[in-house]
Amino acid sequence: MGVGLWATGCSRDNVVLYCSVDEEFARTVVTEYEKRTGRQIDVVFDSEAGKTTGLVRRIRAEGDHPRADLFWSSELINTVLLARDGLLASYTPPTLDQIPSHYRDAQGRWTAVAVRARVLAYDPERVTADALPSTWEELAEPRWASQVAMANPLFGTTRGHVAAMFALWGPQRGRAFLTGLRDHGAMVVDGNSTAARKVMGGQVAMCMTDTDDVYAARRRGFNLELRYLDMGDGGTFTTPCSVAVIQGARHPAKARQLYDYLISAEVEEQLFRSTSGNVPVRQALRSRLGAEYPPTTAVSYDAVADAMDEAVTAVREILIR
Amino acid sequence: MPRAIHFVVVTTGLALFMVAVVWPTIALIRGLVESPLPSPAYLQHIRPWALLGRTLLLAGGAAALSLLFSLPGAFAIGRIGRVRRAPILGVILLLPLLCPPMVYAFGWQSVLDIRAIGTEYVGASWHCILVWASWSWPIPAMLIGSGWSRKGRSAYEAALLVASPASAFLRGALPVLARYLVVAVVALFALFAGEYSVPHACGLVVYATELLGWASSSNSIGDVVLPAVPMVGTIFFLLVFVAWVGRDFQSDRDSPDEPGVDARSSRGLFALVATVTLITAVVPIGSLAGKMDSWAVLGQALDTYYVELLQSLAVALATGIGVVLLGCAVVTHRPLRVAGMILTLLYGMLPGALIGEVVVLAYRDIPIVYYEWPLVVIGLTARFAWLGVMVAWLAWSAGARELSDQARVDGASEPMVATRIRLAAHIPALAAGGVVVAVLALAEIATASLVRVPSVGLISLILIEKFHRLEDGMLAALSLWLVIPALAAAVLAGILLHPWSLPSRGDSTTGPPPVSDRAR
Repeated sequence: MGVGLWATGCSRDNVVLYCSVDEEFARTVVTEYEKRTGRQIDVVFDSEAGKTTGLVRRIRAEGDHPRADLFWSSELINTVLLARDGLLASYTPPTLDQIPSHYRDAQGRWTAVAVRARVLAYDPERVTADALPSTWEELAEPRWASQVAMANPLFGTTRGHVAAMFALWGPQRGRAFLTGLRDHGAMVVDGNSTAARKVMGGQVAMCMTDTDDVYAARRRGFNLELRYLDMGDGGTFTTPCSVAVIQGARHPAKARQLYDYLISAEVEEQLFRSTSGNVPVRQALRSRLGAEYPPTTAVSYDAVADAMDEAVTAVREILIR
Repeated sequence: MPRAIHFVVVTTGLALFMVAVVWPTIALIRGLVESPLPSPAYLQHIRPWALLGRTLLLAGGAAALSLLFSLPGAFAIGRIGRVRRAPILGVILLLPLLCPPMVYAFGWQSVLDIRAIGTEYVGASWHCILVWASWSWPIPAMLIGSGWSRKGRSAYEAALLVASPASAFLRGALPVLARYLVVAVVALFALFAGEYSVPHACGLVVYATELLGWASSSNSIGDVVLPAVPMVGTIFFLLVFVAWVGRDFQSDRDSPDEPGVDARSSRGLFALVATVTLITAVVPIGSLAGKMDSWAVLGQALDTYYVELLQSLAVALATGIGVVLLGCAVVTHRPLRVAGMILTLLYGMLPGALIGEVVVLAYRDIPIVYYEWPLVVIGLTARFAWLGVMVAWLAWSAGARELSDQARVDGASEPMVATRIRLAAHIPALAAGGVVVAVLALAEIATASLVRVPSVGLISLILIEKFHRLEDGMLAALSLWLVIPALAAAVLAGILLHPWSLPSRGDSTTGPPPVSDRAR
């Protein structure tokens, strides 16, 4: 049976997509693409537990022997780092002018769409809106830090968020923030959803998380509210999905066609309507859908990537107990 | 025919050793040579050492609690003498082990009020300890019980003259069985210390989480290997200690053919063992049903994920069989034994994500493996090969030396002696080891994340995805579907253990007819 399965396995002619976007949603999108084009896509998924790192490390391990053609990621910072290491190919899709410059690589190595925002999620029965901090930096103060849970900043969107803090505030203020969180009793847990569970379970009053985790909690019937805290320049940190062609892809032409589809307004709309509720980056689409676009920090994703190493070192030294 | 079977078994095992351990190790060494030198600065801070210490404390606590849970079962096996005399006992003992540990994590989460158990960290730690102990206690029960059949019966019966059966067991027999206790506890400790899946499901940060963090943030293999050294070193030396302690189990011979008590006279003991199973397994698994909005979710889960369930079971079984074959091949091959065991134990202690990565490095240029199910099986076999080697070593150590010597005098080759005498007598133990590996493979996350292929869906990754997306109903339903093959396997084991499944010739596994305590 195993040999049979082996023999009927993946065709070498299929486009190979590495995908860390929500599997259920991604399968729907890919299936629709396959129906329209008649092409089969071989998809390798990542899991939330792998924090996107599984596929990123796999792309690195493959190096100049890539097996994937396209990378569709649920976040952007790792994509930026891959691009810097020469692992992504340049491509200018026809619809690129619809994408704000903040969400596309200057050298055409990636395109970002469908953002979710970093928010402070809170239980309105335990804390009122006017008792919340206004900025992320204030969260480290004693009156709030002791009531907050956050995901391990070595991973995922929390890692990117902390790196953005270091990029905007500088290392000194960044380290002071982490020290404040530690000294004043912030709870560090293993994942955004675990942080949300702590609020739902009543162990803490609020948590640092992403918008899609708040929506997931609401679907479960929990009354969880959110607030966009200010990074210090008028906006919060947002995490878009990203799409990139792998350097040396074996099916570059087919990969580009899939790329065009994945960054299309149609897929952005589907992502908005999906359980994650990601907001389109296209202004016209947002207006049509009535989507609330969070106030966004001006820190570039390149600057966030630059600050990543320093932020991670500080997290290891200060925060991880 | 037996020679042919022997040849196939050993050849397959050696091939798996080359494919799952040696070749990826070469890829690891190549990766290390090509990487820049890692900075040791990280290990100069107190924090990673504190995290390592807490992780080891957690593992130790789980091993100790597992031992405590195991005592009634060990007592029952020891008194009855052979599990075949009480197949229902065998089913009761096997059941907790056959359900993936992650299922217990989700189940106990429903039952426990973490807030009520001290601080947040303490509550999560107890959750993790309880999950590990709930799953693993049959392992020390069987180890200690099997040790009883070699050594301890005389001490127990002597103590029975002046004490109750329970007291005679605790004070008379257990001290004599110290080596088996040590092997059981230390082996469990090693298993738990490097684990990621259960602490992750309990919301706990452990050293394996830290290593995954290194894998996330660094391009260099060296940056992942260096922080792993303290963990790998600690567990490796523990396993060497276990191998050294267990090296001479076969020298324990104490009335091996002495009949045990009649199973029917041990109803109280059975009830106690059944109660332990009820509390540790049935309660958390049963509570999962309460997480579903309705029973219809079970149907939805099967309808949506039946392919992934079947694929995951197939991969897990292949891994379990492969690991046992690998272990037997390494242990029975004298030129390879020491080096092979050391290499496998060291390699197996690496972080799961790193093992997955080196398997990817090793096979990225071999498409027929890289995009197909063999990559998954190779990755999981690499992850758990150390367990296969340990189980095979303990079984081989417990083999019959006198009979082996006689066979050699009669002209049997060393491999034939090893497989057909020393290991053959412990096929049930090897099978049990394979089953444990299959269950662990079913729940593996870190390595599985790296070795995914388009054609195989892994249920462990779907489960943890549902956990992170707060889809608790689907999570509970999928977990319950994993329990069903466990129940089926336990019932099958019970059928195989039943006396009417035995060959009709006189069989040394049953020995003389059992007698009751009252008849003594």
